Amino acid sequence: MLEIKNLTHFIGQKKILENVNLSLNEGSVMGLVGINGAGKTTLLRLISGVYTATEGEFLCDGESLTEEGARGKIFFLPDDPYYTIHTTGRSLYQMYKVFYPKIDYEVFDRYMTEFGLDEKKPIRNFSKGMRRQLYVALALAVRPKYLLLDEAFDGLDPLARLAFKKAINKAVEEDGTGVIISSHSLRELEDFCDCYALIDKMTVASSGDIAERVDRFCKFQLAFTNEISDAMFSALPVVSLERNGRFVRIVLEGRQEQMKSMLEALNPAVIEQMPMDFEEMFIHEVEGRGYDVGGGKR
Amino acid sequence: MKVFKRYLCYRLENSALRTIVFTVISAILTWITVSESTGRLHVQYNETGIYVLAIVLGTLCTLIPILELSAFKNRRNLDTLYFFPINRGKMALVHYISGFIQILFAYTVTFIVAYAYLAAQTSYFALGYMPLYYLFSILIGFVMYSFFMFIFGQANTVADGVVFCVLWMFVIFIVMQTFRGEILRHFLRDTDFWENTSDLSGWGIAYSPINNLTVIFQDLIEINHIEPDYPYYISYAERYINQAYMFFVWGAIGIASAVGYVVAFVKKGAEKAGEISSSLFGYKLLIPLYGYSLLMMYENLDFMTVLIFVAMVIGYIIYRRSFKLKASDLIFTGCGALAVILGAML
Repeated sequence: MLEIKNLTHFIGQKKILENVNLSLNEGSVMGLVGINGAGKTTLLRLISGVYTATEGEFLCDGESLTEEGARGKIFFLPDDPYYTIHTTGRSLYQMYKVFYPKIDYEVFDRYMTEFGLDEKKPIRNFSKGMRRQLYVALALAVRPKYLLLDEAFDGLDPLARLAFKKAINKAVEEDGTGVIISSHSLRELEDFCDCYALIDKMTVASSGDIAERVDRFCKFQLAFTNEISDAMFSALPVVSLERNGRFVRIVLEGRQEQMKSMLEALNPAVIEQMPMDFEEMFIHEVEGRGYDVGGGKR
Repeated sequence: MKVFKRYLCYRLENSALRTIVFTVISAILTWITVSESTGRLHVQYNETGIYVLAIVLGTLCTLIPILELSAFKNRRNLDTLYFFPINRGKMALVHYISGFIQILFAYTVTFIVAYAYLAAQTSYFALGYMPLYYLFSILIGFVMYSFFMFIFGQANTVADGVVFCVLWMFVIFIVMQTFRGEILRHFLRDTDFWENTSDLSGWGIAYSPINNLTVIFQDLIEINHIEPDYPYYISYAERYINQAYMFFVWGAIGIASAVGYVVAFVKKGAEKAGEISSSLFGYKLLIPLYGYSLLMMYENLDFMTVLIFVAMVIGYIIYRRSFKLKASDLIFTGCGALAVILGAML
């Protein structure tokens, strides 16, 4: 298990993260979400050892991540990974072999072929997506116990995304790799992750199982024959409410059956339950935290 | 094999081409210089041309730290380099040792070329001193290399690092010169100490130890000197021998720099890469030191003084990468201006 305990971090005088506590099980895929500048990348850099935390502790299977042995179980794929004008896939493989002697060339070669990448070509000529695929091939060849992916889907075309997700899923299923993946593509994360952590106001604002969390919300569309007002819904656990004349779209926090019966008590002419996804849940979650979804903070 | 050894081997393998290029250039340069110098034998001079070895070593000890540490000035690189499972202190040592081995290799080959050429040419020289010169010059190489590793390591960008290296080459000399000329002068002008320390500030230049060592050994090796101004020449060597304690001062600076480099490497956060270089050993110290020293040396209040102030302000603009200077920058510059005006009035 990868554990983060009481993490607080400053960059200069500015506090970036405060009292972060989080854990990831083996074989689990966690989506790290949050608005821009929430501290997702900083958190991944702290876990991977790129940044040194001001306060707090990182444990990998009970061992401190300051130990080289524990660090060897982690692989961090940053948003814009390292390369120089001379770097090729082959030279990167050799560099990683220094730190991960058990890196499997066959796996690396297989994924390079699958992604259609030439290991002898300088990667400066690769697109961002191709570079990311190359690093994914390296990550999978290293077979880390925990994989940290920053802005994972950035720059990947739909086919590459599919191949990327397939490869990561395979590592999770076959090797029990634990994955933390930060992305703004919440629909992708919903397909891919079993749990999430929302970073807001410098800490983990909410976390847990994605399906369970989404199930805690329900969305309905209602139509009324009589004039209606917002006050009619004031007794309900409203997360969001959109009213257009006699039509209402409402998101409630609570069990579906219970919410439905509460709405039926308002005598709508039509009541229809609509599907709720992770992205909507995220939007409502951040709206509830005072952010204007159009951008900025309310 | 432990990760330290593996990484060191990787670094050496990775920088092999660079080392070979440096070695070839240094060897060719040395060959040309030594053959030119010895080619003039029996005419007027009796020179070995081994000063070229000092130039080679000085250049290597300045360039290799820049090349070895440049990757750490880019945050994108650090995202990868710092997550590798190797202790930050070990990583610092690997780069330190790898850089020094590159210097050692290039310099040793260059030295052998010079030695072999001289040995094959003539018996005019006391070449028995050459191995001793090699050993001492390697020790001084360690000092210069450590010094520039520390200085370059203080910067957050490659450009700032290069500026720091250039400014630190002369800052100790300028400060020593100012201190002696403008402060000690008032108290010790007529003493023996004043006489004996007349050229001590020259030791403040970062390359002075290798230069002075070479002058001493040139004197020992070029024993059959026949050039007309030989007595003047030998007087320099004698002077440097009398000031040999300065080699130990530089030795202490070298050791402190090596320790400082590792400590700073370990403590420096990756967050700082690419940011403004706000180290105490950077612009913060160098701008006032250069500015005040030049002001004190110049003494007068005229166009040149204004030029020094303008240079200080430009220095702060380069430091902040902005025309919006901080109050502390203006205070430092303002205090200097005030001191100059008061000095001129008094």
